[in-house]
Amino acid sequence: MLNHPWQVKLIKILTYLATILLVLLVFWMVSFIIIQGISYLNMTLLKESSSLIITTLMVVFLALLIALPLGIFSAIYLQVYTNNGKLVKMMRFSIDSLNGVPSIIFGLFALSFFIYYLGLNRSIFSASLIMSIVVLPLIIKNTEEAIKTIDIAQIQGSLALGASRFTTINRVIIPYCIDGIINGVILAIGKIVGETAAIMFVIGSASSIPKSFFEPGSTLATKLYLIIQEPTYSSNGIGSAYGIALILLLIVVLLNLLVKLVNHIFMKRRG
Amino acid sequence: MKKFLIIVIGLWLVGCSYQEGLEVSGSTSVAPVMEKLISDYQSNHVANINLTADGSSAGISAALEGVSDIGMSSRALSKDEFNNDIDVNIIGIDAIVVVLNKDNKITNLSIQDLHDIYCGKKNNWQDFGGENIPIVLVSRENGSGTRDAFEDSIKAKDANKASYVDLYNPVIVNSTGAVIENVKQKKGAIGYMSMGSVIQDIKAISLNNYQANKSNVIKKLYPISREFYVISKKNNIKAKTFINYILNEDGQHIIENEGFIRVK
Amino acid sequence: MKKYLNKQLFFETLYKLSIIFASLLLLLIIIFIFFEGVPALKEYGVFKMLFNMSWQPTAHEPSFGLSKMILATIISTLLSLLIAIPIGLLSSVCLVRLVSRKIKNIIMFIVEILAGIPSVIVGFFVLKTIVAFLYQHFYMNIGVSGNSMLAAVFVLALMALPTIITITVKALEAVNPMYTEASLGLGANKIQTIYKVELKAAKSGIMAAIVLGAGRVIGETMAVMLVSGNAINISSNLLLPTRTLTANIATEMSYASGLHQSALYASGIVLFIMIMLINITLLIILNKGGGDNA
Repeated sequence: MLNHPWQVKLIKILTYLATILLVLLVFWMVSFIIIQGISYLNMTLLKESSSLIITTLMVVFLALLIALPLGIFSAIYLQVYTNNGKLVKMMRFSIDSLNGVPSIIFGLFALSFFIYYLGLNRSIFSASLIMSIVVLPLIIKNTEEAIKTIDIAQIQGSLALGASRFTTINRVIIPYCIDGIINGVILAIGKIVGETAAIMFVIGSASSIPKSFFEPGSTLATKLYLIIQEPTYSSNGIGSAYGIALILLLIVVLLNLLVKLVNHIFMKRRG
Repeated sequence: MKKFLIIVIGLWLVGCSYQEGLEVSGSTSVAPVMEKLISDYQSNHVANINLTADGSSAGISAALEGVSDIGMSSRALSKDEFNNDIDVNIIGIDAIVVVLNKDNKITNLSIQDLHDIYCGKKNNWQDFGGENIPIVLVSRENGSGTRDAFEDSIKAKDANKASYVDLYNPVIVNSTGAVIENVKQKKGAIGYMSMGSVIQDIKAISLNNYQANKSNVIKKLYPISREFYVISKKNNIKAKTFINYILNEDGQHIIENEGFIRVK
Repeated sequence: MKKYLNKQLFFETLYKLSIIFASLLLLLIIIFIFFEGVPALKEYGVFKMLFNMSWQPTAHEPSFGLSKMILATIISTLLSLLIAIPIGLLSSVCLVRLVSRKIKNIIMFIVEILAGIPSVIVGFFVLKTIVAFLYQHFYMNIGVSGNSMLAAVFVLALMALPTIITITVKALEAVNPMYTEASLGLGANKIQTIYKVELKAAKSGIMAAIVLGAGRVIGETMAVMLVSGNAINISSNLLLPTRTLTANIATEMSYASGLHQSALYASGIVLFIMIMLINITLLIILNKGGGDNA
């Protein structure tokens, strides 16, 4: 195997081909979205999507409001206070598994727990609740990764100087983790913006700008799905679908660029 | 600063959470026209009406339990569902139309034809005088009231009320819009939907040589039709007001405008 | 002093409570899914649900056989991985070893974009391109509508690729450079070194990538639902429509009630168990492979 020059050459070509194929596929999809969507970037779309964007932002805001403190505190506990015993391993497994739960299962759970059991209404609030659970593992993982990169010597130094664990956390660990936390936040935003299956049973649907968190609403993604199913739900028909898809694509690209920017800034800081 | 923000956010969350509203839920077939009725009503009256389309069965039980003020249904209530403290009103009549791709030359089918098509006995349009193109079945999902009514009419269910259609590779979708998209894009496609949903891009055909218009439907010459019901508790005044509006000229006019058949 | 200690205690408890709450969430989800799904399991029978081929939830005597959907999920996963793994592995190798840093960063950015595109959009794209293409070219075959197992496999491969690539790239970059140098020192060329030494050294990371990719694919709902046709069928003809477990839930959930809804939750339980098996496999792989890359 791989002992003959022609075999080596073949594998080399296949390797390059695979990468080219990969890039071409993504380009095909992205250009499709852009070309189809660009003709629908008009005033009607902007009016329609303003309420969608506001609703999406509301879900992002409330979900992060819940998941950030919970996630950061959990990560701090896992990294600073524990000793990797069996209990911690189980907790880690539970949180990691949460990451792998299919979004439709989250959707089923949200319906059963929030709507049926707790009796909440189908609303932006309920959608935020389930999304906070969905992104929690992301926040925990990214915060943990950031904490891990801190030079252990800094922590030991701080403790050796007599500072308590708590002070060490506040003055040493958290300031250094900000970039990891921000990374987690951006990834979480990306996940929330694109989510459909987890929230579609509990968010209801609406076409106007929501006046409160307790009203039903439609995010960009859920409305996109609704329009694909029922083109009459929007003024542009299926055209709105293309327009919304383009907006979502732009958001994804923006968020990814933001991650790069954040990493760049903090890379400089860390030296 | 932090404290201030928290208070403001908290107040906003709590403060605007309570609004007296009318809850309307039920059939997805009735929902589109109900949405138009609601928006027209809300432009002339002070009201906050919420609409949820979760199916006739869900709508009926929600109305019976009082969870919704008004339940919409595209099927008649069963004996166990009916009781004395609810009002059941018919707000309109819907015909289920069969739609074909615009390029399909066929303009009429019989109920027997529909049976043969959806039960896999005939699978090419040339069997009906059309071109040599295999038939693509488009159907709604299990639980859809429209599918139920359609399959009952063409006898596509067995004694156990299990559908035969699943055996013949149908494209199954869970909304009218998706039926339209499929029939629009695929030349061999056939689908069915509420008469109010038909748009220019697809072709509605006649059944048993009768078009789905007001007179044919009322005289039952057009073979597949059903009533749209609204269910509410007898003592629910808010609901009564809205329902009266629907049954009067304003509401009925909208129902006709949306492509359905008015009752008054 | 006391005030300070109290503050410290307060926050320590806060941290503890947070992690306890976070780790109990999975349990909460399991409890509620089981709570909703058990009635159908009891009424219809677990064995029948797993192996019966008939899914007729609205009949007088309903049947809730999931076997065709389970098979469709397994087959679509295997086939999509069959496409995504070679492309993913080869691309990862190329990115880590065969191209400049700059190009690697650009392509990784592209991969991350792919990872971030919502599944509804990927499904919409495949619907408008692949499905339309398949119908145009194969419409003379009975039962072909473009919506098919093939389209589903394509869309799933697209979704699995970013997962497989990002993790494989990380695994390859973590390979001990001593192995590489030793191999090259012994006279092997670059390609031989990559494929015979480095891939082996990164084995556990690559397996993790594949397992995570599989988990992603099994749980995919929206994209599959848009392109697979959702017919309750499974056949060797990949051009015919089919229905996965996830699409089954999403398609019928909106108007299901009573036992029907419970059966859908039950299929959620089946899906969940499949995912947990995958997670446990991952755990075993990671634990075993811990020593490989020293």
